[in-house]
Amino acid sequence: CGKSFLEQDVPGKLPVDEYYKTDADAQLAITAVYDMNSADYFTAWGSRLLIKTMPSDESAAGGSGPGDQPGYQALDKLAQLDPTNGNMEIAWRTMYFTIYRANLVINNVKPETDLRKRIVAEAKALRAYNYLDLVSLWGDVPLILTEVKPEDYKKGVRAPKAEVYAQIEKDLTEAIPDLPLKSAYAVAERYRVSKGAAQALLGKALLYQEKWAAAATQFENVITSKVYGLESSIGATFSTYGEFGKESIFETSFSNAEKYTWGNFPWGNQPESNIHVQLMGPREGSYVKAPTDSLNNGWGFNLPTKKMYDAFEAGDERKKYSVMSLAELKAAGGDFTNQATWDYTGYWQRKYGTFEKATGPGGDSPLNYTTNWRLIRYADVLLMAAEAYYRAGNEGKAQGYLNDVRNRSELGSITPTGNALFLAIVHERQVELAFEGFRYIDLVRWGMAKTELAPYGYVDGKHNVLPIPITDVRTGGLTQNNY
Amino acid sequence: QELVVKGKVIDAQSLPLTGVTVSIKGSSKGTSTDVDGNYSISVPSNGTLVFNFIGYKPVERAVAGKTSISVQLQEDVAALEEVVVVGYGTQKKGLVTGAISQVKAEDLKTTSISRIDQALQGRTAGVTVLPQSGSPGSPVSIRIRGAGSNQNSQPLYIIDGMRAGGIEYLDPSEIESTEILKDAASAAIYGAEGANGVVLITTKSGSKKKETSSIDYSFQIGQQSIGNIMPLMNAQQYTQYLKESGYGDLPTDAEVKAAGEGTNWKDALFQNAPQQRHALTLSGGSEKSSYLVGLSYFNQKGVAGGDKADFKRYTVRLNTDNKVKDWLNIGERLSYSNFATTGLAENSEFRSVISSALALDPITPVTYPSGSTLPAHVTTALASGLPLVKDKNGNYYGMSRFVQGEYGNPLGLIDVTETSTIQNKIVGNVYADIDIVKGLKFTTRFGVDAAFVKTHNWSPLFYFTDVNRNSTLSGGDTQNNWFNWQWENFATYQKAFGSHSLTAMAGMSAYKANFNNMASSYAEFFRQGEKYAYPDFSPDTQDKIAGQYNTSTLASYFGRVGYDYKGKYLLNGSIRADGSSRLAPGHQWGYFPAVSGGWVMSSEDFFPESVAKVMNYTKLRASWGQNGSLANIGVGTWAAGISTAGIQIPNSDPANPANIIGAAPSNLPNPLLTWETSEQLDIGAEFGFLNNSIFLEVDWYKKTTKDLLTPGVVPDYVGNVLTVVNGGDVENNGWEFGLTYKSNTTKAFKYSVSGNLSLMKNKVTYMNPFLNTINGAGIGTGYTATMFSLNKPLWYFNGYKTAGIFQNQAQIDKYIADNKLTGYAPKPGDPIIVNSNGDTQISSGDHTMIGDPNPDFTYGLTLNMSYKGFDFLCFLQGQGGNDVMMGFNRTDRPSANKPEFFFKDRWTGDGSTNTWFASNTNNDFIYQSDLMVFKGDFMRIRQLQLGYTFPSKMMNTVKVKSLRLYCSLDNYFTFTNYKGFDPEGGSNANAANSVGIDRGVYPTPRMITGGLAVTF
Repeated sequence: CGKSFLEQDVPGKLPVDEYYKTDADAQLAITAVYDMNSADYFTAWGSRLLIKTMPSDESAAGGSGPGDQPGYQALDKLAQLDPTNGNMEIAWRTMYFTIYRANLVINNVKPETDLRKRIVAEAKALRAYNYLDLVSLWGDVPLILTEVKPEDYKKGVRAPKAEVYAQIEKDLTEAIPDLPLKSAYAVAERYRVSKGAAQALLGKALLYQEKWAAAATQFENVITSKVYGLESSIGATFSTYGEFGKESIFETSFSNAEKYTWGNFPWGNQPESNIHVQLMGPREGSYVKAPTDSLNNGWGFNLPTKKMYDAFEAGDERKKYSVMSLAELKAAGGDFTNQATWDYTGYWQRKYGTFEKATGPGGDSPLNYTTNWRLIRYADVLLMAAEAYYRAGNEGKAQGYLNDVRNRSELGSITPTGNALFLAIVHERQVELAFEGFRYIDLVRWGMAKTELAPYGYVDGKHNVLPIPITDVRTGGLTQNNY
Repeated sequence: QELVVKGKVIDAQSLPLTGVTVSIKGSSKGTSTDVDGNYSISVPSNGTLVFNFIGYKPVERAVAGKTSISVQLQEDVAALEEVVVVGYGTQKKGLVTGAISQVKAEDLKTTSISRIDQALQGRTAGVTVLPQSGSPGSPVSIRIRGAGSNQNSQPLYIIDGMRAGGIEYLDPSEIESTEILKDAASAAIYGAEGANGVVLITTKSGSKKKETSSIDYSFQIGQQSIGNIMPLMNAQQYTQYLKESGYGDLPTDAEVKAAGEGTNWKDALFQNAPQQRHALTLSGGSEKSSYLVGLSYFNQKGVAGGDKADFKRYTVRLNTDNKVKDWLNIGERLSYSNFATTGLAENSEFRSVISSALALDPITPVTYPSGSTLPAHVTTALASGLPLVKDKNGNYYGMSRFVQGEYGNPLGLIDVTETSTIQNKIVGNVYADIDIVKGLKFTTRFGVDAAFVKTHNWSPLFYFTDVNRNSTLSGGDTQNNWFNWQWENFATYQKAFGSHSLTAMAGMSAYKANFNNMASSYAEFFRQGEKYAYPDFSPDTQDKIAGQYNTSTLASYFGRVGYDYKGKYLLNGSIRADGSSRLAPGHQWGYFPAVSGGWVMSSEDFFPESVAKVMNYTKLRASWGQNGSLANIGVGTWAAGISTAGIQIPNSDPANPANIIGAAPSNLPNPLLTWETSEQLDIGAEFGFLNNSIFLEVDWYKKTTKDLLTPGVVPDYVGNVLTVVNGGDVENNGWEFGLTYKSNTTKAFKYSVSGNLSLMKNKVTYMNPFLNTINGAGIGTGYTATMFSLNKPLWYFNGYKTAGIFQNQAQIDKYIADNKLTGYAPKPGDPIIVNSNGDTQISSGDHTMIGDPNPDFTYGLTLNMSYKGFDFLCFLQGQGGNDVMMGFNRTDRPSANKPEFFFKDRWTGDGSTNTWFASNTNNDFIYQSDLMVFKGDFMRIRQLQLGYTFPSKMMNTVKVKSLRLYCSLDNYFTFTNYKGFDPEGGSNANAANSVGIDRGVYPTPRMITGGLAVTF
């Protein structure tokens, strides 16, 4: 029994140094980046969308009680938000896991063919997308661009925001020339980052840094590309029909291909369906759906506030596609029997709704929602463009893009100027982008959070960023925010 | 003058002894006793008869003219002359220098337990046996001298020299002796895998000493039941509790009234269940060959689930030994067993039958009797075509309107559970012993441990709640195969010169473990029913398969030298080198040395005679050694390979929504990964008093597990997981006492008492500098209930510390002001949460250590009494100093029912109580606090047994050698303050970090048994 007896294969695992060589390898490697980028449930509940939504004034956490998803509860109530928040940690983790996989592509795939050149560009854009989320939610964050060596595991350093933004701009600037237009991708590949997505992202990064003119240029590039447009209604945008449609700039894809059942759903792993949609359905047991409605019951999270409901102007057709009140539910023949449920508001969101059509066939319907997250859509770009132009002094352009968005939802054009124009943009973002995860970050960067969010537990100088997750403080040696 | 002397030879139980040699002293003449123990011999009248029988003390009797001499032979209880099995050999007990516990066949003779591992419970100091559940066939976990590792702490099992994955396949009737190597020096001969202790099992074999044959048959039948444990709230209490806690959707007054006391789900679920066992052993031998054939059958039905929680086991054993040449012995130890299990989901706060029975409200009936009006929510469900479940009589099972989510009617859940597991297992080896020259023996043996396990499950259509339903006929079959072989060669040399004696042993071992599996799932089969629930009867597009294999190898060289001088000064040393394929090239070999010494002080000339009269035997011993453990390292764990596992994304084509596969490193590499090393120092002493009728053994040990293998925790920003790291050191230290007293064996009334006590301490003494705390097991959604960190006990409970109950608002206001708290708004009746981290919030940052699942002490006590044919046994066992966390009350299911004491003990107003909170169903400050942590101390009378052995005279007439009848009460009496189902709840060995959390475990049933044992 010598050496050969102890040499046994490691089944199914290719040594790392034999990978990242061919076009096929590069395809597999970039798919792994997209996979993690869309992991809102990754080993546990940790939706980026909810992490961004909960601290806002759009909705309450809901669920069965304060012990149901305590991480989301604390992000909603803010008073109990602390570094031990488990849901927040999962979201942070998926961002850095995405960056890790993107780094491997960027550092190992040699851009020797057009395909590989494009794939490296996709990886850079995905890395930038994740850093933009990180920097806007946590402020200074570790800037990891290569593999961390074991001896450095506990020597974490948070890079200043400016440095993170500089890297985001660099990655996107390098990626844009190598990325094709969305229209150049085959239908099956439209989940990939396109030139327009990278430009929109770059514009957003510039906007967040208040580089108004440069931001406007990027948004203008997206708009003049003529690749995108608005759907007939926001209902269409958020229907299954609207997925990867003309309004979609960047989107993560979920499917029912696995036909999950209660017996085989991959709890503790990474499902392909969107289980968070089920989490956000009106709470089972109490919800009685209206006979003609297709909004299934769910687990009762993300309950819209009255403030959100009241924000819609009269005649705004977005309201019915976004929120439903108890009165409306009852009028349609449905009911909600137990109004003493936790966080009960009397409103339910319908944007990312538990619609019967968005799940199945096959498997158990709560487990197979296919609803995609719309990460960047054209209406958002129009409103960001309006904001950038307004700040840069071009009110005419700002009004034009603002009205494009209003007109789609059956609202007439308006022509405010000065601060009224800014407030109109603020309002339009609130109602157009309700429950899409922008409101909290917007209010913070506009300096409006301290007034708008104060009734929801927001403390200025503290809740403008989230706490750094405890593991990375303890084992990684990172400094903490004001928590 | 020659006389003819006749007589009878009997044993201590007055049973006739056959084949006793009766010889005349100083002559070669002799005879032996017949089947009735009688002999007849012609002898000089002044001669002396010598009675010799293997295993008994020889007796001499002067004839002195008598013609009738009957003798009673005493078993040779000179315990110190007994041998104990050590790795790769045996040792005289008197020469042992390590800490080895022995459990012999006779200790297990009376057991009414089906599993040998359970039978070890409480028998010996330092060995903790925890049942993982009371369900039929569920495994137990064995910890030797505390938990060393934070994942798998199971000891290494060696059966007749063959390493085996477990010992669940052995029937107690197959066991000759069990040795537990507790200290490192004893276990060091098993090097890399001995760190958690070694259990050596020797199975019975036929006797070659004399022409004998015997047939042993034993039969046992028992009835299991559940005592009156943990009452739950009745309908009124439930409704009032929910109302007081502010829950909205309450049962109506009419519903409460109609329900009366309400459904007692516990009574509905648990029923009496039978258990039976048969064992037949045929053995015999002659000078050249011996054989043993053993057969056993065991069947246990579940107290919950009946046929759906059933365990059947068949075992067959064939052991033979053959002397082929003067210098060559060959033989085999071969066992085949077959297990058939049906099982229910348990030990989960989410989807188990037990947790549903705990949670379901008392308002809901078990079934709706035929003819009664169904409640509206049931008719609505039926109208929408949902497949509600009916009982055998065609009545719909009660469907709760108040408790939903993962829960369902527990009896309905049992009905829709269709799971079966069949295991075929072969363990055994063939060996050859070769005597090369006098004193030098060479052994070669080849063994296999093979198990083939098929699991089949399917699910009919059913609906309990929106979450607990199945709307597609689906099933899954899994075949898991293990095939492990081991080849060992070693030589043993023994030599005595003068007062010195020397033994030496050296050898090698090669071990290869192969695993492969094939798992399938399928759905939409053609019709509901077992006969359709196979992949062939479902569409091919609905069939999925998964499979895997892995192989690991272990190469070892080992040697041991033992020396003693006059049996007085004892010295042993051993070393083992192990190479494992599970580690990275260049880091595969480890070396595990051990030394031990002993001094039999009572053999010294200077040992005072006056002391020796009372304390006839004194031995001091000490040992030191190192062992390893690889149990927590998987194949390729160290490597960072690229894998496609779990990486796929849906494409964006609505017409063809296929998944696209990706690949990435599955984990971070860790080529430095190495053994978990356990270093142990043991100092012991043995004392025999009054000719060994009292025997005391004391050990002190310190066991340090270094480079503990823990799940890796790296900062998330590193970007991937580190599967396993050498995370830290755990220290266990403690005292062990064993005391035995045997009364005078010549009296008619005999008794013996033996007890053991272990005191232990456990803490983490070093953490990998990359790590701080490691999160353990969670409860419900989002609460980490156990943690691993420096200077704390292994996997301590983590949560809020409370300091009584707020009695009024003034007290609350003061508390908030004193602690400068913001955002904390308790109500009177809520617990006072200690602001552990001293900040201005009460939040999960205040989680701290609130309990320790590790016991401080364990003990066992056995009392044996006999009078004439009657025998009585009392065996009790217990532990203390550990905590249990009640983990089945989920805050995200506020309407779930609760134990009755939640209601009875609750705070009802200023000054009512300061120990239990007001009605509350969802407050994390309660359900994640020390209020859920209870003292886990318990003492359980494992067995009370009364037996009767028929007099041999009566039996001889029917050619029966012996017949014993008995009845027994098992686990009937438990003394504990734990208010949950079972103080032993939640001892899940598969997750060391979950030990002590009671998630709604299947309680250990009590049992009444009767049985007989007959020998022909």
